[in-house]
Amino acid sequence: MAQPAAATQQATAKQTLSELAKAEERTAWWLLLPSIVILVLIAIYPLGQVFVSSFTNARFASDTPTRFVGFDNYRQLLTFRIIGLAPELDDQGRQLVEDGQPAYENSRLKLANLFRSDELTFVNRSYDENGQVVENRERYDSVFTFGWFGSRYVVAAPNAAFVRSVGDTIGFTVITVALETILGMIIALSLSKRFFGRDLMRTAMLVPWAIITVVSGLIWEWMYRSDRSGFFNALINRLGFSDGNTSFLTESALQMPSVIAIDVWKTTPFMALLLLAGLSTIPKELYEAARVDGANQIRQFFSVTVPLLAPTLAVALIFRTLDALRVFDLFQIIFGESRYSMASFAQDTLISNRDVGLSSASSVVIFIIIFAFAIFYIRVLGVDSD
Amino acid sequence: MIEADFKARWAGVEDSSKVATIVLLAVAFLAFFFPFTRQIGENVSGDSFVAGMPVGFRANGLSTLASIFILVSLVMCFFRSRLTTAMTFLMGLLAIVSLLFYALATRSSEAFGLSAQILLPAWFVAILLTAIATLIVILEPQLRTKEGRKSLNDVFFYTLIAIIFIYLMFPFYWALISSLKVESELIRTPASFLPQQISFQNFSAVLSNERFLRGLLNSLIVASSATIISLLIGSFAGFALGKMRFRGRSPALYGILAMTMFPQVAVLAGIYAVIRLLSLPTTVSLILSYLVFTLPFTVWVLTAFFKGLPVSLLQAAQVDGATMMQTFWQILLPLTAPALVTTGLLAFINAWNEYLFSLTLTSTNPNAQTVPVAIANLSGRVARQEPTGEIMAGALIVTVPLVILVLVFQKRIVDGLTAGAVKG
Repeated sequence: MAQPAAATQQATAKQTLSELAKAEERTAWWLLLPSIVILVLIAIYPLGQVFVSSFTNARFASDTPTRFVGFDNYRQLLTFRIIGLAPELDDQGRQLVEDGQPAYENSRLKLANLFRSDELTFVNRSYDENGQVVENRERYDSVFTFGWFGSRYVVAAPNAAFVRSVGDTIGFTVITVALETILGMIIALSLSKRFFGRDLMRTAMLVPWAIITVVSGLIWEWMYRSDRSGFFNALINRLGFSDGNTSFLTESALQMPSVIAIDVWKTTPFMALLLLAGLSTIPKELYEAARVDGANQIRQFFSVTVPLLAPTLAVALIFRTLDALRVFDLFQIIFGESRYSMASFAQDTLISNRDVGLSSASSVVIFIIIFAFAIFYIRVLGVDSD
Repeated sequence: MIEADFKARWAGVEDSSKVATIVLLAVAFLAFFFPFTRQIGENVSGDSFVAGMPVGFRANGLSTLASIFILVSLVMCFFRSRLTTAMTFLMGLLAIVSLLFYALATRSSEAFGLSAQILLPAWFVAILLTAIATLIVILEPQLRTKEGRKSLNDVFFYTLIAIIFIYLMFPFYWALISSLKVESELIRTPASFLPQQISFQNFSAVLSNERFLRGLLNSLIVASSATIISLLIGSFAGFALGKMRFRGRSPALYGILAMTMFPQVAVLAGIYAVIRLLSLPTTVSLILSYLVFTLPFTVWVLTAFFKGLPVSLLQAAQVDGATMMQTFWQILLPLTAPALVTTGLLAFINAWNEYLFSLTLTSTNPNAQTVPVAIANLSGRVARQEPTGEIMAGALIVTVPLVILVLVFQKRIVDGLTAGAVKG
């Protein structure tokens, strides 16, 4: 009699347990519900919306009815050609030399000529009120020129601004993340020792991070001024390196380094803090053991610090890379509409040109690029979410 | 004592070295006074470029410094071993000679068949080598003893720390002095590193700017609303994800993580459409759109904190007959209060700094602008002249409270920032 009673009791206990588990599951979903509703409303649904409208010619405040245009937006954004430039010759057929560099024909002139002679045109489709296709011939613009095995080429695209913004943003990301990692590592290693004034330093590190990005952009823009009332021009002039009229933000060769310097200043402390936290988890005994074994400081760094810091470093790299790829504030403040990052291109196309379709297509391209970077990191560095 | 030592050493020097020393000293003096007599790169023909170098190139300060440096190194070398002495002699000679050649070349476009373009880099390299050689010579006795090495190490270390400190703080300092300068001093060239005359007119101007004040108010409303909503909803979700077992938990976690890294611009056009569809007022739409980044972040960090709380607490509460929600409200939530403060602070700072959504959604309604947009537009509105002083004052006004907040909660912020990364 006692046996079955115990079994029933056990069965009831099991039943209550599974009921409890079910109740727990229900409660959990109820708790998650508000977050899910909000995220669907402001993230998932808009993302779907963006994806759909990237295949349309939707515009704000436009009379023409919205219609599907297939991949036209993507075609316009992503088309580019590489065209060889002919060397510039003198009367004897020798190549001219300008400033010690062999001279080539002007890329813009070449593209304009190709357009005029109908050899290189981009056919952009649009639709009139009756839904009839209107074909517009558009010209290719120069994105940049480069040399390769003694010849010179120009990269040309119908939407040069976007192709350039992709190149600029990826270049910006690679360089800033590399510099921030190296500088952040130096700062973190310096601060990992105990010394007088360490707390003050840790506090100082939070200052650039806490300043609004827009505000730090404005402060640096002021320091970059193109005459000697700007800090950098005053400094390099006093040191004797220039006449003090360098236009850091309008000279195309200096634009990217200038904006990279701002971002490095602003986010290196963040990187250093992450690495510092990682360093503090490495047991001191390991260094002592390495010292006893006769490893010098450099050997200790590569054999103890780097391997043990690798997980932290990987996560920091992911965070920073994905963050840098979506850079918007700095480019918008510093360059406005003269040079874009991918994000500022999409924003400007949406607001200034009211071109919802094109902006959505560029957003999708950005999303895919960022996704590709994330996958790459997860594959290469083996980062796990837990 | 020193004199005797000097005499002894001088006697020990070979005659040829004595001659070399005297000649070098003379050359160094020449180099020292040379910049005062003639500006290097001075133009004769009126071209703006001579031998590829801009005429404005002024080496005065540098060459003066360099020649002092060389002189010191020459004197120092005399008291050191013969090998290092010879090395520094050579470097110093190289530096001075290339400087003189450069000066000659810029005036006649060429000196001894070498153009200024080649000689300038040569001069820089020579100066650098001299500096390194001098440092080695000066530091040589220090490097011989262990204490010497240690104190030298300390000097380098604190120099490095000082450089990092200046690098981090300098733009902030520049904004501060710029905001205290009067208009005429702001555009004076060259810029002064200390304000000649301290004035608070920029601060009073920006504080009476209605758009700026409205921006402050808007930012406060939008950022704190987004933070509070995120904390409230996020703590529910964090509790469920961190302490409960249910099917679909790990996909939900991955989804949240993916959203913390989401490019906000990818949903911009879509959010714009949603807002037009629901015809929300701008402030509400800003709060809603800020949740795109504050909510996933809050959920992610709070999940980690809830996970860290001991399970025994939960079990004890259940044994006492508390429901899940009672456990949450009465036991777990009070325990996570510090985590809520940290997370809330970080979410608030992120929302306070936000620019993309604010710029886009307030483009048709300037009255709803948040403070980053208001400050950025402060510069654009007056076409005649940028009100730089006012921008800098405004920048400080919006930054200082944040910096103070950060300083007060320093430890917690660092913990919060690194919570995800280190455990990852």
